[in-house]
Amino acid sequence: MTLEVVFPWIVTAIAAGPAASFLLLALIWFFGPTPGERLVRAVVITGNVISLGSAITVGALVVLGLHPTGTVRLGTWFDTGDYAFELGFRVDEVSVVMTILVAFVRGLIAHFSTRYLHAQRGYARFFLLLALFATGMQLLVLGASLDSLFVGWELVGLSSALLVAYFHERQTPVQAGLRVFITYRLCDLGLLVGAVLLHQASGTSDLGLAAEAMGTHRGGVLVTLVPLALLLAAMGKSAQFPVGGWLPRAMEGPTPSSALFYGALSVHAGVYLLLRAQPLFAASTVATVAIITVGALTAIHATLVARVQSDAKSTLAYATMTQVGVMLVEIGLGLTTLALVHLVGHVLLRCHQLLRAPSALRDATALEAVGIVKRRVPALVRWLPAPLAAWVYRLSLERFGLEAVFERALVTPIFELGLALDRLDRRFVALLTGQEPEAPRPEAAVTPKVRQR
Amino acid sequence: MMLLSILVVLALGLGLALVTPHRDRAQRVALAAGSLALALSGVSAALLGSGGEPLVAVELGSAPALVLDGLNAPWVVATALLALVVLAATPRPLLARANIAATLATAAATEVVLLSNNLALTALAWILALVPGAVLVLRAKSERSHARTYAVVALGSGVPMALSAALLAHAGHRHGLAEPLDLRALASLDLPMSEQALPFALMLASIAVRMGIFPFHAWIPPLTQRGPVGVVGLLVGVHTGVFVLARILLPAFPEASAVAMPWVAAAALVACLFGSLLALVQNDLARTLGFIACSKAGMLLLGVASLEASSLHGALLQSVGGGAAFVGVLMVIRSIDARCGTRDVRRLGGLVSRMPRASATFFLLAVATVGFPGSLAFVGEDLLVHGALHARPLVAAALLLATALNGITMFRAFCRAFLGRPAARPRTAAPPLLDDLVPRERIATSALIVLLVVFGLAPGPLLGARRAHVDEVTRALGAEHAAVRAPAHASTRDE
Repeated sequence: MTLEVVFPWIVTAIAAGPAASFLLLALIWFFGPTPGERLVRAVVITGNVISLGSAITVGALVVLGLHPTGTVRLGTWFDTGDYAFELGFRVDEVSVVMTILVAFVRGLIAHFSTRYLHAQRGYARFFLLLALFATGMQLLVLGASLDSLFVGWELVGLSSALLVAYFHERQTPVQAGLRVFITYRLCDLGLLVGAVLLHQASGTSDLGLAAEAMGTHRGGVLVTLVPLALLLAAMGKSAQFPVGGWLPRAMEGPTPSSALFYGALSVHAGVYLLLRAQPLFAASTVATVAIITVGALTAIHATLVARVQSDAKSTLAYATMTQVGVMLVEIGLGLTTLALVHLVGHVLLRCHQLLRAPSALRDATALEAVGIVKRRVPALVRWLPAPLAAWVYRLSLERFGLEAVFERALVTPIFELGLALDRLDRRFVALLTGQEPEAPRPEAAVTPKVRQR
Repeated sequence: MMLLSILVVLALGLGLALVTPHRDRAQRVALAAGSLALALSGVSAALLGSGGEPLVAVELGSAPALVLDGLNAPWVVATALLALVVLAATPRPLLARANIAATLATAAATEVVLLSNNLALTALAWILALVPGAVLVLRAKSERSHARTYAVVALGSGVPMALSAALLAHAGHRHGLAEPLDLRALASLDLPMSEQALPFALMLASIAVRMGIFPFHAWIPPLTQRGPVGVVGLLVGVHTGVFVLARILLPAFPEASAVAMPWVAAAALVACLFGSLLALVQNDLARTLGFIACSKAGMLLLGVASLEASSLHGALLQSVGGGAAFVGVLMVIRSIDARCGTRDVRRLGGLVSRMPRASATFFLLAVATVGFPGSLAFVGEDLLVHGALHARPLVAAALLLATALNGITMFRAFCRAFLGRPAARPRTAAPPLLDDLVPRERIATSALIVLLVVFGLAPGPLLGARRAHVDEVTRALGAEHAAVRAPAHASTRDE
């Protein structure tokens, strides 16, 4: 059996390992009793080993030059004659680095969680969602086209929102999960629109081929629209200004999932998308300015807010946003290698910090108690004039009021419009039935209110 | 004979269910009839798949009255399956003998609409499909207020269809068709535009009422809330409106379709957004689902109105996948209602700890409803959006917003009903029964989930079955569309 024949199978196994774990656990759970910890551990570790082993093998084959980089085509999912959804994996330097990173970090977190969540209610659910996330993340980083990337993107989003709401007996995590899902869903419109417009402009949704084809459209509106749509999608997933308010709320989930999603992998999915789409950004000045602006604003906003947070997880969340913002600037400036190195380093550091956060807090409290830790005045406060420092402090404390602005400018009008239409509809039905319209419901009950963490 | 036997089995089941004195025995009879109908329709579809030639039955004149081909086969099987699911999974208090009979009668009438190759038979079955529901609504004293709505719907849907069929048959007769009621002959009839306009408008109006397209949607949410469950599942879950669009309206009125479809697409988009916005602000799970169904109906109409092969394929797939998911979610909501005494999410909450299987089932079917990857609805939506965006980019962008809102609505409904703290006070005077789904409910809803996932991962057979029909329709419409646009372009150039 030649390497040409085996290679597609090895690449497929990277995503198929966690997918098989997910399916097996889901089937056992749905049709039988809740699987026990030993069974869950065995299934999850087997999936991890298959995924990581395959990822390392693929990486080694590519690095050693035994297999060329390129697209591994697996076939067609569905085809209508004028449109076909091609299945394939992109194997190149960037995707190989990412797939190994994803398999490694996910395996590490899974191993950590087997002990961390021991005897917790929802143990099996956690690992089920973790396997779904790993499948989605691998499809995302290996997807040859925007269409297949979108499938992974959606799986990551759904598992993410469900893990934020892991402690579902409490209201706050559930509301935080809902908030995450809403932001993802609205920003994912960008990816959908981008994928379809890209297909229309270039006849393909393969990012590599599309970038070449789009060169012929230079100056056309699609050259600007496609990267801007993709930027919107990346802003949602990577918690960028001004839609990043969900990230600190997402820390409501268990610590390992916070580390995996919002310190390590999920929050960098947007950066990865933009890395892949960088040639499209390079072709449009407007898109380049937009990505740099978004990244820079996020970095400034998040670094200020991070400094006034009173809990470790929120501080780390805003610190993550800062670094991701800087990565966007790097991509906008065309420094893709630097952005990739930055991404890998940041994933590992932040993952470690989040996993270490609970014990680090305990250590810090102990050190503070014996007077070893001295509080320093931040440099920013020393440099800025006192009134300005107070003003910046106040704004940072209120997270620049972005939540309130969104509530007032977007959420409330949509709900008010819906309620007004509902009242009209009830009157119309009452007219048909010849009865009084049903009593209107209290409006406060239907507007989603999410408290600040 | 296989096709006729599907109808005979359903009719026999209906007759036996009506004369069987005991409710449980009537349910068993109905389940047997439903299972047999499903098996027969499945075998018929399989025979079709192997041979490729349509199956025909019952000659009326020189034309067959019943035809099973690639276009209707998935719907025929889906209708039998949904009837069986409804009969198996409906909570017992909601499944009186009359409901069982009404479910079988609606299923039989729907199957006739789908299988019929005769215009008069189609129109008759189209009207008769509404009768069992009307009878139940009129019988239920508590639902008298909705009897008027139902009557308006029945008239609004039935009368235009009957008139349209009569006008079309008359036109066929005048143009020398030997069998003016034969749908295949009518599809090849080249009617002048002046003769297309009125029957086209009437048929379109009838379909819009049946699909619940804004402003004809008013019957769907109340019926989803309180209507007889089997009838609701089949009337709303089986999109006969989309079928009639693809089978009769587009082939028989190509020129009128090419002219009117841009306007229809705009109206469909309004319906889609309207349904999404209203679903978002509801507190009643069933009413939410009703408005989601209205929104989805708008989306399906938009897919057909885009007149692109991929969007038409998408609409046809979505109508089957979305319909099955709708029925599944409806079953879970009715189960919750039967156990908790309410469907109001403000009075629910935290159900996941007491009804874990119901929660998982609701969640899976809800994400399948809104087109999550891996479900059949995802493939349908993807194709539909691609086609629509190609034909009308701005309309499709707004359509995407509606799909996003629908996703948010279903996830929010799940969070509010199943997660969080349980409601503090008892919801009803009697202590609520909070048993999880019983085996028959689990098996029925699981079958839907499995089918949605299997065909979501491998939609090839469904797409392949309809390819010939879709290609034929889009080719004919493409030519008409070009012909309609050409004078307009020419006049623009002259100016």
